[in-house]
Amino acid sequence: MIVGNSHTRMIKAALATRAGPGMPAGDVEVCWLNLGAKSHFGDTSREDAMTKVRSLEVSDLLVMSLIGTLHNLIGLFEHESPFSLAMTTNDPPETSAGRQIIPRNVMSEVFKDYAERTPVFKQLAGAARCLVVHFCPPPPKEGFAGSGKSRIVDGVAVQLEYAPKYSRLALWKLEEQVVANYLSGLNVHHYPVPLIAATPEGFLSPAYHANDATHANAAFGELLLQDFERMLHGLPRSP
Amino acid sequence: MADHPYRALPPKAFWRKSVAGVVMAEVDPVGVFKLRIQPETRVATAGSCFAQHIARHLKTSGFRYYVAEEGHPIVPQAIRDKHNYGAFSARYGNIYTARQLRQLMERAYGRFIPAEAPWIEPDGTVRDPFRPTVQPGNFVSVAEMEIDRQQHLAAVRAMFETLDVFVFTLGLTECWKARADGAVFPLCPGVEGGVFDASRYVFENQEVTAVVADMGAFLEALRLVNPLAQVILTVSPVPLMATAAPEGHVLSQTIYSKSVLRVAAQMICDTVPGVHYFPSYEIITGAFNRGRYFAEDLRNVTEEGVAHVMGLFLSHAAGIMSATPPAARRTSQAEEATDAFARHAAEFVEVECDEVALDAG
Repeated sequence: MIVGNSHTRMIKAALATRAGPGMPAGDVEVCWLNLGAKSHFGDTSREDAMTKVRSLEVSDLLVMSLIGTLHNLIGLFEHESPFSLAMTTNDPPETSAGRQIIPRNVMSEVFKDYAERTPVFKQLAGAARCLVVHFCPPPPKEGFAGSGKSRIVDGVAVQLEYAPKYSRLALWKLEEQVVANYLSGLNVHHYPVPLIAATPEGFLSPAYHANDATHANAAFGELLLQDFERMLHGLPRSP
Repeated sequence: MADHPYRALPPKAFWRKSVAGVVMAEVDPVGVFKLRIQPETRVATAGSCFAQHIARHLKTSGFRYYVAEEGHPIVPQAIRDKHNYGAFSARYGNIYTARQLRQLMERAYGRFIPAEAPWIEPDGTVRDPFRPTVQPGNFVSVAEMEIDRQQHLAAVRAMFETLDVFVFTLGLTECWKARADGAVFPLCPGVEGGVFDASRYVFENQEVTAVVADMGAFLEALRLVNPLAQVILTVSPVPLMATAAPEGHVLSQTIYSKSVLRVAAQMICDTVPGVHYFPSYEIITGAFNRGRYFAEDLRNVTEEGVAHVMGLFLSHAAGIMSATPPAARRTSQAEEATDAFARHAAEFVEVECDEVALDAG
């Protein structure tokens, strides 16, 4: 069973386009969780998801993707007070001129706080008798077709510019790291992005881009599906 | 009956009439306080841990408590609080000595660049030697610490240049400094980060002349960037956690230290225009309260004591008069607002004092 946010769509798409050997689609159920009255998205209520999770056998696999999304909410577009994280020895030089650098331990706490404020995640994970795995949103894309997006905010058209790529990458990396630490305390396995799906710098490879700013495509979903199948059969994951 | 000068003096000049014979919560040792603050007055704070109480009360009293280094708005306020944004007007942590304040000003404007290197912890994290406890979990790299320090010093400059009133609480005379260039640290190296090395660091217990000289240099520098700034000096009533004075007893050294600071504050106020003294030290330590304004550890100040100080401060500086004194008002509200009391208690606990680390064994 795969349950989560909009990042479950790529797996559903992979199942729909699947050809060749693999798990029959009927053995995989993908649920896009609807988190309440304010949400217009999702096909499964919290209560239905809980019922389904409780019905899983010990030999089943629960895959979740619910947390780790804050980097997109706060960092996909340039904030009116531009910010970033300071470089580390492993990161490329960040353009820090004119932007406020937030200490990583401050931002780590922001991400941790956000994860902890998603109680449905703990509830679902705690209800499962089987192995539970969580995957985060894919890494950011290095570039986009345009420089930003137009949106209507309070009836006014607003042009939002994308944040610089290294800022977006740094935020994604940090949130994934924070989520991995958080999951370890809940006995939930963190599923890192397959190396094959990332560029040498860590961005999402163009072959796996969906047609929007934050999601991956069915090919990425297929990579994950194959790994989840291996997990069910006790085999090592793909590189 | 012969006339003499005391006959014409007001009640506040007499111990019995203004101290011993007055209800505790109504003792008011302020005397004349010429400074007035308005709701729009930008009031900035710095100093030892007692200054955090002043900052906290200003925040909640409807005045414009000026924070020049607020942290980024994407960070929730609770997390900013935890990471010491807003504890003072900039994220400098506790500034215990006049020398520290003077050097902060000099560092902010590039007139003093200490040679002390960042302190690297065994786990690889990094502390800023001049505010070693300001970042929980420390900085993750030297680069991050240096960027944060640059941002911090820019905020300090903005604060000094645009504040209306600067409240500084003198806390200690004892300090540790680098032998190389005299840079002083808020805490002895080795207590919270750093490694103590007697060949590199030396103890100094400032005398009155040194405190006056440091404060004078600071005030002169402040005037250059903000000629209209007014300054309020207070002396922290919080005793020393420990003394490094040779053969000194912590109680005697506390009295010595506070006496030096009190004298220095008076000398500065008497000679430098625009500097005012507010007697929070006297309110907390005065015999009239029979030690009630100190907590069980005889060191931390109770919320009742802080409320007395701030009630008088707001009364004298802002003209906010209350039908009941602050302490009494708290008592009467306590029964009907248990959660509010709990909140105040929590806030009391929030006021962390770096010096506690000295007694951590």
